[in-house]
Amino acid sequence: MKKFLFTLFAISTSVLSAQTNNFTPYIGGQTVGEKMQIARNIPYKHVIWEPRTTWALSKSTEEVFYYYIKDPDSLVSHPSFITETGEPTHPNYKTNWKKVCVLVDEKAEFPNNFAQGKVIENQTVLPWNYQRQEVINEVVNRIKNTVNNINKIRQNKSRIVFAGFIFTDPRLSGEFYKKTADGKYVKASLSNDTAQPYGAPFDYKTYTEGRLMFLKTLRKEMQKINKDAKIIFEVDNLYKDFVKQTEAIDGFKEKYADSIPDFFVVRKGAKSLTNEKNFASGIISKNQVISNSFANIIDLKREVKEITHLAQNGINTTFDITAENSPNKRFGNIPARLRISRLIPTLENMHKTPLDARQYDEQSNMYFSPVASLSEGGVGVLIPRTNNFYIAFTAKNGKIKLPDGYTVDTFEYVNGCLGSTIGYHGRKAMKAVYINGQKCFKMLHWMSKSYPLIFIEKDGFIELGNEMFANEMLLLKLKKVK
Amino acid sequence: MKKILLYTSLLCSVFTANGAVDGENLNYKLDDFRNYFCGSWGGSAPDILTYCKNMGIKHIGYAPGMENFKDAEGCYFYLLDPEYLTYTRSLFFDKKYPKEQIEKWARQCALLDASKPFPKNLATGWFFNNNHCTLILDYQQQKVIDETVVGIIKRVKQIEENAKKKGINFKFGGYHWDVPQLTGDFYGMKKVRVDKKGNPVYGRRQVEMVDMRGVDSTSKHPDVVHDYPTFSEGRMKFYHQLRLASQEVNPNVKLIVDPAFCWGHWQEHIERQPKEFLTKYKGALPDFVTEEFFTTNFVDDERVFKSGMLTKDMMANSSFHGWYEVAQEIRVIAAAAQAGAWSTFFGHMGPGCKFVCDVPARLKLSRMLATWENLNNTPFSKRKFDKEKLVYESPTAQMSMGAFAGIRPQTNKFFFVVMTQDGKVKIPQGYEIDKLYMLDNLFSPAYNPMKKIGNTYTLNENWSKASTFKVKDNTIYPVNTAVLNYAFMATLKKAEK
Repeated sequence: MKKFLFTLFAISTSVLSAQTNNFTPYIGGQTVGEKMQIARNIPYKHVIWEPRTTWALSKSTEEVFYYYIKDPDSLVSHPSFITETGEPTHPNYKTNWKKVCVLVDEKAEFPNNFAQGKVIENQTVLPWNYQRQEVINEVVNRIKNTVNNINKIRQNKSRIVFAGFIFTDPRLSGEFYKKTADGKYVKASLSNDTAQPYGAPFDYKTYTEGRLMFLKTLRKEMQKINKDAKIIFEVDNLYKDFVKQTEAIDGFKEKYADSIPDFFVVRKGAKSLTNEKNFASGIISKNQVISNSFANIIDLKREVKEITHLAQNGINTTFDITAENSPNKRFGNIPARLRISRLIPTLENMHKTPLDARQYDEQSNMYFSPVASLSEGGVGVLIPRTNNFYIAFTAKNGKIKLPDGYTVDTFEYVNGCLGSTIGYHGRKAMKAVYINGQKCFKMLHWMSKSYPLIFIEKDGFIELGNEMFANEMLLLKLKKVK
Repeated sequence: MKKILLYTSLLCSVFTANGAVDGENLNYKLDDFRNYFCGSWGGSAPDILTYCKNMGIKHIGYAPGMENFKDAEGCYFYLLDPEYLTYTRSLFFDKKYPKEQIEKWARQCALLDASKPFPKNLATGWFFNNNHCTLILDYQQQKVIDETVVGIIKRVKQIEENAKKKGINFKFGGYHWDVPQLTGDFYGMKKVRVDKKGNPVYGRRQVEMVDMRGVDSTSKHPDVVHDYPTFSEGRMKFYHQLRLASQEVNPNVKLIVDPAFCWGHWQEHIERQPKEFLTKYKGALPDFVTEEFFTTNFVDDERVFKSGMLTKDMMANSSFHGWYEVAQEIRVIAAAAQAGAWSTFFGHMGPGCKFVCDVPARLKLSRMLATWENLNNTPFSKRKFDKEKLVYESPTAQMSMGAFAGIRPQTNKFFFVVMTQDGKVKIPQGYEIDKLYMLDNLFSPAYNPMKKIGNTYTLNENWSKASTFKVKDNTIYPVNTAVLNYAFMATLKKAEK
């Protein structure tokens, strides 16, 4: 439960060029306040809703944020049992749960008579039986009520608008798990893709079909609230986790067009996103794919290659720090360089940088464009419609290319949420000084003894002045070259 | 009896003329209260607790809500500037206040001129901005002291009680004051320079009552009684009375002060008081002094130790300015280690920094090292510092411009941060690496232990096998610039012969 409650989702509002999709990042973290700070600083306008989101947004009613609900079918009151004891969490399970949950062995004792889902904290979820339209209607209705309740709350204080749903680890054949002998939970499937019959005949022959009808019904109701709302799937592997399943169904695209998610956020790899087999059946297109990977936490070489690949293909990147590769599920725990590099493909699209201006020099393993630069030595990207250029060096000989037509005015330290921390030092403490004709940026705080050199600007590039500051993020305030 | 014992221990703790302590026969225990961390201003309580747990810290500056988290188990909390919890300290100049509040302030808070209308009657403390300042309690009134002490004790008990309800053993340890000087944390306009024409230029500065009124005394409201002729005496009485009252909750309560300069902002204030105050208000004398300024004065300023009231094992440095001045950080931490003093944080952990996650790993480790040297009972004679090369070394810790490292006291956990490509870390003599972990920003292991291939360690995840360090001749070298400035931890085992 916590996983989706503590996630923030952000989507660019900018309209992108034809070669790219119009979807961008989502960001996770522990506190709503932190996540809102990040969303504002990057800046994105779409957030994952969680209980305190409305509160966090209420402080700035002039801003409009769009909210998504993550795993909505789990968010609504769900049948479950205490994992350790097998005790049901609702007393009426015997009469009702056999109808609404997935019965697999009527003769078995509770809870083994049901197919089991995710273990969330100390409770095991019993997935809904989507083979019944009645259940689909009930779940969709509850989801709709949740959205309406949020809308009622936010009307009083903040301006946030419902924008859709995101499903994590969704499998059309159902999100079932079983416990292995060594106590681990592994993914499981229903025998013959169906629940055991009980009571009235099922409306849908297979669980997969029922799940698709759930998505169709959900989309229909969702669009009554906001016609532009979207359904998003977050998967590990695009082909295995979605495309392959659809290929097994004849006439899938025609039959289930309304059930196909609008976007797919893919956690693994970069190259696999553009693999032709994902798109061969024509069910989804490249425009629907978004990358969300933290695999290159200390692999700079691979990060440059992957970001280049994504940027040159017009694919957006996102932050889901609740994903398994992210340490401690905190935004501040992501290395500074990765926080910036993972923004580049998205911001390139927001800047509408032509694809042929997104260049790569193989010899130096460097990506560069008019607004961004990434190499194993450093990374920098210009935030659209601002003069804010976030940078992080990684090596003493690292160089970062400044955006075309800009020079550095001043610089600021930033916190993990990308917010400025100039408050203590004062803006005057961080400024350019000329040493032997070279434009150097130093920390000139009155408490400082050595006035350390942070970086040097030279010939349209910046170079690290002190290796001690490698892997730290700075915010450079740029100005146009006259 | 307990009180007598406490005073005896305060006055007799290793008194020497220069404040030095016997560094060869140390016997510190892990639960020593100077194993202390305070990064609590505006920060996240669970983050602070997790970091402290990872660093083995048991004594923690309190952040709201700490008592609700399991990581608080077995820890002691220290309230920061506790008097601020007992009254409305914030004054907004553009806000309209009810008559009752205005009158309450006039009787409770320090006045600059009782004859003037609100708010000009009030003495102003720290300014958050031009519109928002702090009001200071009028300690010259015994009534104010009594009410404040009662309010603080009530809050202390409340926190302990809340923790108890949650089944968490989170106990009261003491107090920590920012700007603790006896003359108070007042701010007023002061001549700061003379302009080109010779006219004085005024600026808002920290001031004493004597600067504004000519005497160390607040202006008295006609309805109140000033029991103490000076503000300094009143403040001393407050510290003293609070210690006595707090001993009812924790007989070992500790008072910690965090002056910017340990002489000018604390000890000089104490020594300028009449001699009899040192006996009359003994409880006001601190157990621990954490100096905020980023110099070695906290162990080098001879004036501080001359009276024998303070010794070097009662001193710590709490500056965060090592954030961007690594050379000076090494000098400060080495000075603390060599003198048997301590290192910690107070309030912010960096400029404008609220969250532990945002602090560079090198600073989060270096601020532990002097304290760890003491808790490891490393003899002073083995704490070597080469001032020219800026290299500190002992059997349990190391610092250079290339890397910081230290053994967490009484464990086999060896933490290190490499800052430069040519930085290196010596594995403590007689040991070798058992397992090596990359840490997250709270110093918890972030991933599986690394895999050793030949003499190189790599991430051991299905999504990455990137190389990190190699070990050669019992020394750790980075093989990837991406590891610079990140924290790692090796568990050590005895080296095979």
